Amino acid sequence: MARNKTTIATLALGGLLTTAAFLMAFLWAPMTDFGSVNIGGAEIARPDIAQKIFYFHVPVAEASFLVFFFVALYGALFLAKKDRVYDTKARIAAEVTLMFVILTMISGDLWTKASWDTWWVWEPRLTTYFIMTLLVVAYFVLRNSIEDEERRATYAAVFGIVAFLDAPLSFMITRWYRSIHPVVIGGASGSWLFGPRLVTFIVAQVGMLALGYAIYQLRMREELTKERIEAAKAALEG
Amino acid sequence: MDNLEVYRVVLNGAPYVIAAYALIWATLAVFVGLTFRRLTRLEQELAVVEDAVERRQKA
Repeated sequence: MARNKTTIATLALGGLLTTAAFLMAFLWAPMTDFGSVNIGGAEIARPDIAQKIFYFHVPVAEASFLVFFFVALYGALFLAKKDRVYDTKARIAAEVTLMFVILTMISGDLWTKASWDTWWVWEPRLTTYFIMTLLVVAYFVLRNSIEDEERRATYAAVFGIVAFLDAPLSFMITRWYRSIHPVVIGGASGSWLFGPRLVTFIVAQVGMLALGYAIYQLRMREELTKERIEAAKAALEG
Repeated sequence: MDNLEVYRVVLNGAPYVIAAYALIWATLAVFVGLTFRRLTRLEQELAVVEDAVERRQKA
């Protein structure tokens, strides 16, 4: 019950922080400029409203990297201890990763269209992240293709660990190779990220991580409840 | 230049921004909502099954 309360509190915190971040992004964080435009003979700075996608797109992407790490971690723990609970944890973490990955891909695509006037560019970050999306989907395809529980868990654990290697590669690649994709955190493109913009980003990031954690806990509770039902049914039949 | 044209030139990315925020929020809300609904149903089922187990053990 206490665990349940923690999950609900984390969910509420995540909802509150992401809502606050949304309001902060549009009402408090100053707009960045994107060139200039001539209106009625006057040259005025063109506000880059598309940059506002940053405050949700990046936290969702960072959350996908972090949750994917847990897929690999629980996979490794399963291989080491052969405890089925780690396989369940890895599977649920992969589900949450898939949700974040899809949201990152779509919000990133909308940002790409708004800023670069194209839906897709085969540049290093987008390409490696697209590969990561395919790997997460492949994780579930692999699971569904194996019937034997033990083999399924083992193969999925190994695949999860190997697939995760793409996450740090995708994160770092824009730092290693110059590309059109901005490097905001710790990069040259992040010179505008300070003061209210930085605070807004941190609030959104913490909120998104809280949401990710709460969703993971809710799904785990669902799985454990299913297992208890199966056990109770077996006791009734036995 | 009318107002609509000004918005189109100055805020040309606005529909994409609105779509991105709406999509992220809607997806998270639907995911959480569906999980809660399934969980509530499962917990009700668990209570019924565990009650049946308990009654059988007492009998």
